[in-house]
Amino acid sequence: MVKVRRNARGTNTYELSLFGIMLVITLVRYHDMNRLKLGLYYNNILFGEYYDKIASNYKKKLPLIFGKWYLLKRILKIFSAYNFDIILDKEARSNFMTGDNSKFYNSFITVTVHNHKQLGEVQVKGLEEYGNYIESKISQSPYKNIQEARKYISHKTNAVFQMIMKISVLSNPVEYDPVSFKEKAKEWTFFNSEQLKQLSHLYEIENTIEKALADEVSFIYYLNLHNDYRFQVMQPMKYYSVLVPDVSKSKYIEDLLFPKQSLLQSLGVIKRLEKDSVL
Amino acid sequence: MSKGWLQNMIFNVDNKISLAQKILEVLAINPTITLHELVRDTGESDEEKVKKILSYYTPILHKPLVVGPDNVDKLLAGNIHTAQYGIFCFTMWLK
Repeated sequence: MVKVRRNARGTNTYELSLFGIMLVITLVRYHDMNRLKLGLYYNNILFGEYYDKIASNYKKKLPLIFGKWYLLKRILKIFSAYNFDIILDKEARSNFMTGDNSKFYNSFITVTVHNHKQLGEVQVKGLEEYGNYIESKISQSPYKNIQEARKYISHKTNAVFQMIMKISVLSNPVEYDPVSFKEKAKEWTFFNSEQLKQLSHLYEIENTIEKALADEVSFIYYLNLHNDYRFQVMQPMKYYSVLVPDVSKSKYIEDLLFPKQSLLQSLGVIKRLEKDSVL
Repeated sequence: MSKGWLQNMIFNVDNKISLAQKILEVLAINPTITLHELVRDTGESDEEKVKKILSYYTPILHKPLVVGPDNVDKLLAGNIHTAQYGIFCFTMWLK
């Protein structure tokens, strides 16, 4: 939930992990539903404002959502916040997992599982072929001693081994953390310190678990907009009812009732901005 | 995990907001702060209490798995991840 970093002055600083951010969003939303007995610690921050602050502070954690927050707010208005309900609530998720969305989601999972299996095969085969290659080149090495020759060839080909290592990280990102990886890698004499630093960086939480979680959250968030008629949210929505006391008379809600339309509008703007290199 | 956590840390508290909730909220609004600032912003007088809560919620480094005589049976039974075993074998072979 909490991540520790050492700043330039050598002092530890603390920030939330993506999981921690999702918990805070849960608290804020539960407060909006009157489900927190004692309320929030920052009880003076309004519902929408709380989401704005989190999005602004943690842009890099969810680049596809927080990184485009003001655009999403412009189009989805307060539903940019309520659309997180689909991540927070199992029931809302099961309601939205029907028809096309279910097919989208399940095919996405199938592709992921299949890719993971193929990646494992590439990794195993890569290690095998790499070993065979080194063995076959020993006789051409300038060193007579077999161990020295192996070391020499592995130094010459360590870019290939690094690639296999990257595939290994992708196959099992939680196998090490950066520190334990460096500790283990001390046994491998063929990497220099810069290469070790680069490889150990692959095991940083933000490059492994957090990235996977961010992709999943973003995917479901946008998939929830792939809905013709209404947003799949939890009830009640206290802040919304303050903003829009009479839904039937509000122009505000008329523009919002069609999530798919909002999605297309968001994607259109993102595409235009990217074309103009603003994003 | 989050459901149980919410139950214990948020819903089952009686008279004051739990320190864990305060820490989460403070970090959500003020990221990248030091322990001293975190203690100040949570209004907690005892720094050790904040440290204790942080220790529950910060990642714990784990030692790499070493395949050796002690756990080779687990390996053969398939209880050790093969990707790591592959690299292990490979590096042993290079030695």
